Amino acid sequence: MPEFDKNAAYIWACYGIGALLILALTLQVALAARSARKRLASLATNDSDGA
Amino acid sequence: MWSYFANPHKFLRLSDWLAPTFYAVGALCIAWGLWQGLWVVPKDEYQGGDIMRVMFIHVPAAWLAMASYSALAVASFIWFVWRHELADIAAKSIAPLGAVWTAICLATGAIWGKPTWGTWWQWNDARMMSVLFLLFLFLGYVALRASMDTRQKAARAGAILAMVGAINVPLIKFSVDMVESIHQGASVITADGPKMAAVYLTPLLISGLGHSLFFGGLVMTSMRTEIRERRIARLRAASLEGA
Amino acid sequence: MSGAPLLAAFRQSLGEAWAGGAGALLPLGFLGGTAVLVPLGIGTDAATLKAVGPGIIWVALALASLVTLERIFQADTEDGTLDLWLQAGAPVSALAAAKTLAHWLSAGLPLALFSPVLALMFQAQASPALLVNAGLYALGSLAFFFWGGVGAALSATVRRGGLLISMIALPLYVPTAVFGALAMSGGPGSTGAPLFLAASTLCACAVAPYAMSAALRLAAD
Repeated sequence: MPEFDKNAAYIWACYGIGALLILALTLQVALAARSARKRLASLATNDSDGA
Repeated sequence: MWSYFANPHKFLRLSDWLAPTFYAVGALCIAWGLWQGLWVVPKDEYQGGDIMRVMFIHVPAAWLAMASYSALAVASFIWFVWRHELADIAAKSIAPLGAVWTAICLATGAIWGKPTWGTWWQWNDARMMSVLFLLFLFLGYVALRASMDTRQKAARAGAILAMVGAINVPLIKFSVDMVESIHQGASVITADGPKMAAVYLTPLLISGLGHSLFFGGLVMTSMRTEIRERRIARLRAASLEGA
Repeated sequence: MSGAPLLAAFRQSLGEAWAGGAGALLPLGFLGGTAVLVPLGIGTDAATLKAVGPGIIWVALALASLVTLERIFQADTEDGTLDLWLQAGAPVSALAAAKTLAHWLSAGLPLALFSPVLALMFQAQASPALLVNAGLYALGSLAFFFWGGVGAALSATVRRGGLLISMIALPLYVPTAVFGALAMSGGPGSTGAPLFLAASTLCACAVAPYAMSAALRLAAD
């Protein structure tokens, strides 16, 4: 890990917040995508079963 | 030619390979920028020592905040004029993502400001205020769309708000030069070209590219989700009618 | 194209904004109440009040605009007046502008004209500058009312839309607030600021009616 001068806490706080928010957002987008794909697939198969 | 981009099927096929590519290249660029910014680049005592390294997350976030709002306004305009559903889907997807990067810009900016200028925030700084209200615009856009009864109304209301708010974006860029403030003046995009040394500028630009690509990937994935959600809604409505 | 619907809308708005006889008392009462709360809240130190006074008045103007405009279009959507307008033939943007102007005349302008009194209460020096400031408040509050009108039009169909209006309108208020405060600060930026204030108000008056018109058509559907 790099050694920073007196402001190390601020620097790590910034990158930490950035990383946390971006990763959390990516996770949320991925989960929403997966959920939509699953629901669409199940609807499509239900239709073809019932039709 | 433009109607090519209006076709959801073509978009789905395009984003099948383009989104992962954006994610991969974007993540690589961000990683390289991080490595340079945190390890390699020398600290600049004139700019306050190591703390200026925060610029490698703060500045790309600021660029993205403004660029994504512009994208929102453009998508809204395209929808408003040509009614391509894909443009509305794009606008709807961009807003929450833009809000997050705007929040990152504000948070990192405040944390950078504390040791540098002694204050977390300055209320009469036009640029800080403009970015804060850019965040409110994004959140207001999402709230407005959510409060409308139908998808069509949500699209129309959102489009009006996005276009009206577009006036805010140029104000951010030029406000620092118009209004005296403690915020650093423009050093990347100025009339004479970048004022920053290459050793800092290159990681900054690559980070900016990385964040933009990653953001683009997230937008595409969100759009794909929205396209699927709309299909689900239509299928459900159709099966209710048919049953 | 006759101006009759425009004049009618203007008169009707003036009437309802004039609160059936109470006139400008309500907005002035609101302003007075806000002004009294401030020293109670932040302390009575003269130097603080003097520094804070102009800003408080801007805030009070912004709040007054939001409060006044909340129902401006909602009632019209509900009782069918909006549909009548759309058929009347006068451009909806002009009708919306007329209504907004009427509300500004009855709520915004009186507040601006009353501002020297408030400024004195906030320990400002008595001087012609207070009258100049009243003019600046008048200019800025016009922008508040027009942008607030956009928020009100967009939220016309939303129940309890007051908060949504605020959320939409506040970012649009920012240039006016920034330049208004700058113009009164007396510091290095203050000489050019009134021009920028005027520019942003003109922009509001030019753009907002069309946005309101689009939003009202949306509400009527």
